[in-house]
Formats: sequence, structure tokens, C-alpha cells
Amino acid sequence: MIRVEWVRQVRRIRTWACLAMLATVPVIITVASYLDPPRRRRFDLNLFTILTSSGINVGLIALVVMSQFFLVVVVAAFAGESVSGEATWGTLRYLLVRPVSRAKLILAKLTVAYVLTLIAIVFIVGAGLISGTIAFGWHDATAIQQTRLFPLPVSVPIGEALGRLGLASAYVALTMLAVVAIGIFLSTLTDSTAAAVVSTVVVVVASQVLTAVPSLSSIKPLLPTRYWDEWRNLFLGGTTHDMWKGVASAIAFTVIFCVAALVRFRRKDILS
Amino acid sequence: MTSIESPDIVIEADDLSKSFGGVQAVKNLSFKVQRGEVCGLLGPNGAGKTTSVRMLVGLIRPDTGSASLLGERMRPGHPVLRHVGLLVERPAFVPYLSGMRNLRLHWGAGGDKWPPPALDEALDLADLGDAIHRKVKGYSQGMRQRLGLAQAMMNAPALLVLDEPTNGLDPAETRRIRVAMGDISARGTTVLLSSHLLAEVEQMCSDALVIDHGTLVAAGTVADLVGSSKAVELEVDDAAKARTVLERIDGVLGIDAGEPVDHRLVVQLNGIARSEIVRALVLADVRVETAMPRRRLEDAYLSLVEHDG
Repeated sequence: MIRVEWVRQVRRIRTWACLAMLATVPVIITVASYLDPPRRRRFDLNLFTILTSSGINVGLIALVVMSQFFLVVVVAAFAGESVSGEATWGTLRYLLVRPVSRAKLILAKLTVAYVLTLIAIVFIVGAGLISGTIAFGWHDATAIQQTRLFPLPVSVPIGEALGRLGLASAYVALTMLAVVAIGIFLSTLTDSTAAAVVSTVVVVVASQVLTAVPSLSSIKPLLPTRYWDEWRNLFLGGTTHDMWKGVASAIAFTVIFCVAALVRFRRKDILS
Repeated sequence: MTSIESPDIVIEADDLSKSFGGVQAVKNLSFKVQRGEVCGLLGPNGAGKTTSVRMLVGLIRPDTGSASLLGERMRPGHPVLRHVGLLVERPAFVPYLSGMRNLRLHWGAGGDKWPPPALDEALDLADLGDAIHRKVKGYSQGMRQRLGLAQAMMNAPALLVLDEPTNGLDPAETRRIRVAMGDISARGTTVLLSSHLLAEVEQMCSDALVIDHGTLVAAGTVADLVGSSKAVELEVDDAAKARTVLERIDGVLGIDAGEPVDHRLVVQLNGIARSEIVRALVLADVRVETAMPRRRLEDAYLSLVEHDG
């Protein structure tokens, strides 16, 4: 079943168009930064102002920029379309008159959507690393260290920087697993692909907006995006302790929405 | 894939009921289809045919009752579906894949090894030629319909469930499908054929089920159902005058316009001989050119489902 779903996805132009779009943005950022490098100021030091120090920093910036919205949209498209797309085409009823359990079908779709998500993250970071290296060279990366007075740029050896970037990518991949689960669940609720994809994006954006509201601090831990940015501390010199909370949160949301999707789909009457 | 020995009762619906949001789509539906039958499923739009078919194959969960196919009580994804071929409502395919790739994916979803046992025969029937390797989004409705039939038949099914199988086909294609249905049924495959084309059911089916408002209103052999209808088609010189005469006769149940309207009438009879109404018309100075018995499935069907307008 996984192979069937995989073939269905990789032979689709939309899949490759999404991945190409994700890879294009880091290249544009690189070109723009090469032509007009950001000025580094002592009191305004951030990840963007150290972008030109190494190709590795561009890979890092690509992950920062894309993981907030563009990646979410693409992941929502992969997951939200999975069941509702079949319903839209009418192929869902033919898939379900084969001797295959509905749970197996959902898990196959979740697996393939998640593998595509991992590939998307590789495309983003890879495009950033390659274009950044071409533009700014393959040097030690630069991170930021917080001091009592002001942040300082610090050099990070290539091996360690790549390790941190790999860890950051894995963390983002885990947070996206929850988005895949939410998308699959919403996809079982509707026969409209657009409705499933848009509602997945809306859930994530709404969570991001609520996370930013100071007066809602008591409910923030219950929001799926609460710990999404914790990985940035790997390069900003802050504490990375909350990354464990982020891991637990992503796993919890994934389990909740996977179970909801399985229960919903097992009981669903196929009318499309 | 292993073949299966069909039991005597291939389809059994036992007290199936289903409602959607308070609307009763199917109510206490029970019937059986014997091995080797080509059984027509008839009913007006919204009668509950498609809901019934979907409950039979596990796409819809019944509120009450149960369905069995090939002796196995149905649930979604039951292994017995390996021996069932299905065309529900309209064929549906992944548009950006070729016809052949769609067949491969459909087959692969069940975990079976390619190729299916009756692939060549199914492709012959579909008669798509090189188009089988082209993307489905470029197919005409007829080509999709033929590919859908190939998909339903490539597993050499013991039971074939077809919903409007000749929809979108031209007369030559329709005839070809009809002949193929005859061949398939001659080999012992049981066929449940849902169709609005009553002439098609009459030609292809040995038995028929008539559903109306979600309930079974008639079941039996097509010959029995047709036999229960007694109608005569009259060709007269003045249809309006003939209608006035016939309306006064006790044994005339209904009068419908024939074609052409001015000269033909279809008259439903109850306990009165054809010769009696011809005599009455002649006495009223209406010239009767022909008075042919008309016992078609269409008449039987209409008399069964039009009772409440």
C-alpha cells in the first residue's frame, strides 16, 4: 500500500513543483544577500546579519525562513490532499473495495506524506547550503553568543555547525510530523482537497498567532506551535532545554491526531 | 490470487437499513442473488440503489442489518473483495497517470502480485489500444467507462457488481459489453447490474430487483416481472377520441401516450380482453390499425414504482 501511495505522489507534477518552490527561495535569499549583503551591527546582531559568513549559515537561514510558513503550506498540501484528493477524484471508493484495511491505508498515506516532508526539509537546507557555499564559501559557521551587555558573533567549526544544523532539521522534521497528522485528520473530514489543505494551514497559523499573544501564556503549552522555534537557540546561545518539551509536544499532537484520523476514517461512509 | 468456490447464495442482504441526516435511504432491505444469476437492480433516481450497492461492498456501514458476499459477512476491506469486481456510479482514476498505471495501482492496493489473472481478457474488452499507456485525463467518457470495466474484470471475479456499465458508450460498444456480460455469466460469474436502461436489463438479466423509496417492491425473474404487466399498444386514427372511449371502460387501469402522440396509446388492462377494447373503439367509430400486446419490463417497472406519482 505504501508503494502504491508513493507512486501516486512522486508521479505527480505538483509534488515536484512544491519541492522546487521550496528550494528556490533559499537560492533567491542567497543571490539577494550576495548582491546586497546585510550590514553587521554590534547591537543588532541576528541570524540574518551573519548570513554571509558561511554557506552553512545560509542553510540555517533557509530553515528559519521556510519552516514558519512555506514548509507548513507544502506539508499541508501533502497531508491534506491524501484522503480528500482521492475522494475528489472518486478513486477512494475503488481503493476501499480492494482487500485493504482502512487503518493500513491511513498509515500508508501518513508515511508517504511524512517521507515527502523529510525530502522537503532536505531540499530547503540543501538548497541553502549549496547556493550559500557557492556565494560565500565553505568556512566555519558563525553563531551568536549572548553576553550580559550585547550579543557576540562566535565561530563554530564546520563539523559542529553541521551537527547543529542536522539537529535543527531533525527538530523541524519532528514538529512537521504533527502537521502531517493534523492534515491527515482534516483530510478524513471532507471530500474537498482545498478545504483540507486550507484548514490545516489555518490551524497552524492560528496556533502561531495565539502563541504570540502574551496574555495567553497559560494555554500556550497546549498549542502545537508553542515550542517550534526552540531549535534556534542552537545558534543563538540560549537554553535548549525547551526543545525536549517541543519533542514531547510534537509526539503528543501526532498521536492524538493520528488516532482521531484512524477512528474517523474507520467509521466514515464513503459517499464520494 | 487463489480462485474461490462460489456458494449457492452469492449476495445476501439481510434487513439492511441506512439513513442520512434523518432521511431514510434504505429501509429493511432483504434479498438474495443466486450463483450464476445476472440480476438487474432497478429503481428511480434516489430509490436507494447506490446506497444498497455501497452497503453490500462495505463502503457504507448499515444502521441495521448485514450483507454477505460469496458467503462472507461483509466489513470494510474484507479479503473476499479480492474476488469481487466493481464499477460504482462512474469510473474514477488518477488523472495524471496512464490507464495501465491506474490498473497497476488499483491491483497493487490489494497487495496482489501483478499481473491479475484476467488482465489480457479485460484489456481486450476495454479495446483501448495504445491509449492504455496515455494519461487518463485525455480519455473520453467512453474510454474511461471501458477502462473501468477492465478494472472490474481483470481479477476474474466470482461476483461482478456494475452500476450503469454502458453509460457513455456508443451503440457498438454497448453491444460489445452486452455480449461480454453474456460470456462472463455463462462461465458462472454472478452479476449484479444496476441500470436505468430497462431494455438493457431486459436483454442482459435473468432476474431483477426493483427498489423504490429504499424498500424492495419486487423481486423475481425478468420473465415473471414482465408477465405481471398486461398492456396493449394501440395504433388508432384519433388518439384523443380513443382515449375518451377507453376512459369509460372499467377494465382499463391507465392510458399513456405512445409515439406519435396523435395515433398511439399504451393501455394498461386489468381483467379485460384486448378484443373487448378494440370492439369498444370500433363501435365508437375509432379506426384501429393495430392492437399489439405490450409486455415489457418498462411497463412492469412503471406499474411498480409509479403508484405514488
